[in-house]
Amino acid sequence: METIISYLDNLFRAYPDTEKVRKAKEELLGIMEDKYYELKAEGKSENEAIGIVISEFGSMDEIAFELGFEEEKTESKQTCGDDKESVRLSSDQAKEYLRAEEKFGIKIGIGVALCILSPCLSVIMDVFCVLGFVSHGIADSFGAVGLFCVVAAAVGILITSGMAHDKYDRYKRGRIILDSGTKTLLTEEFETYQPVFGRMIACGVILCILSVVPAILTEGFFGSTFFAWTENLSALSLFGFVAAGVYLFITAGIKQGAYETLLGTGGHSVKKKKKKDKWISIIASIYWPIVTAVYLSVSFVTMDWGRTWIIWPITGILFGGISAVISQLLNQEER
Amino acid sequence: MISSDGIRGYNDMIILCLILSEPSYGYEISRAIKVRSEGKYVIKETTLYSAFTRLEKNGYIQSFYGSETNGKQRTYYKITEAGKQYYREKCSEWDMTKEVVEKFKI
Repeated sequence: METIISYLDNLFRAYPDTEKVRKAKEELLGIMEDKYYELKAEGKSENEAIGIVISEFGSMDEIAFELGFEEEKTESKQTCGDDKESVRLSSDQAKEYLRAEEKFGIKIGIGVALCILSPCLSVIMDVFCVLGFVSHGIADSFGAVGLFCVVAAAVGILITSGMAHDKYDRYKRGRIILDSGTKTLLTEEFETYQPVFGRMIACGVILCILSVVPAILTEGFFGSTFFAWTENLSALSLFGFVAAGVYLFITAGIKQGAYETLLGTGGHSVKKKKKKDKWISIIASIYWPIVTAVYLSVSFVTMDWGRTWIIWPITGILFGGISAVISQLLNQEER
Repeated sequence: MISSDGIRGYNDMIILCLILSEPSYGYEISRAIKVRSEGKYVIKETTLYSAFTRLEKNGYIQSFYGSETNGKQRTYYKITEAGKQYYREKCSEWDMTKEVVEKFKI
């Protein structure tokens, strides 16, 4: 009999504790109890009796529909818990959001990859200079102009896509409510995406590690004197590999984040994420202007544009490290 | 075993029929359905209870607590005049339904 009581308790857990609900539960239990004892009296075993009673119970949806619990159920779900704004999304809206996030990821990925690749023209011009095609001065200024143009284009892409993305901000802040059909569909999609996500991150890591291989190889095999421009080649391949790797990280991560936002299954609570984002954006708003100022002043003073770009990959990786340390610290604080 | 979808429209009629002569309670009605249908129709508990609340809301039955038997107080259901009227309507509706469906049986 305990099994039947706990079965019923579980079924009714989702519903509010109103008089109507209590009465329904009591009545149903009464009928089940009668049936159970009758079956036992007929000589059925404990397990058989429980099996029959539960199999003939029916569905809670029927009860909920008849008594109008359905509204109470969703209402109580909405009012309980925190004061987060809840956002109801139709299946079309959810799909539109996923598509928009995917596009956003690609744009951000391209923007950041461009930033990483921006010094490439400088390096190429340096090769031409070494080969004697152009003078040192022309190479330097072309390289610098190219770098600024690429960075300007990248910043343009980042800002416009960020602005277009603003309208989805409330999805991230609020709690998303999906109908059960959409939720099941998205959960399936999310699960099939998991291995893809894993592969993309793994490829990104491999690309980042491989990025230094050409530099090591050229150094090892040819020495730095074999061709004057082997160093430049390995620098180019380093940028290329890192840009491709970072592009994979960003597109995969943003798509993953979109699924987590929709399904509410993020590894971190919204509140914690907000705090983390706030700290990182505060630090970024101080960090990047300083780096830019240092870069420009050092470059203008030394006029060594062919080398000063090195500040970007270094500070970029450093910033990644700083963000990682911040989120780690906040995680610890949470615990 | 009959499908609960097919019989859905007539659960009310079946229940009312069983309390026509004297009041009864949940499990007794459920068992009577099983016995009278020779085990071909077993009504689900949730279907039964939904029907009770619906019938009571429409004024076709009245519920009351019976005297305690074996330390258990059961809710009994009694048919009202409106319920008897409704039962007769359902019966003639069934006659017509049966007649119509019969015409499509080869």
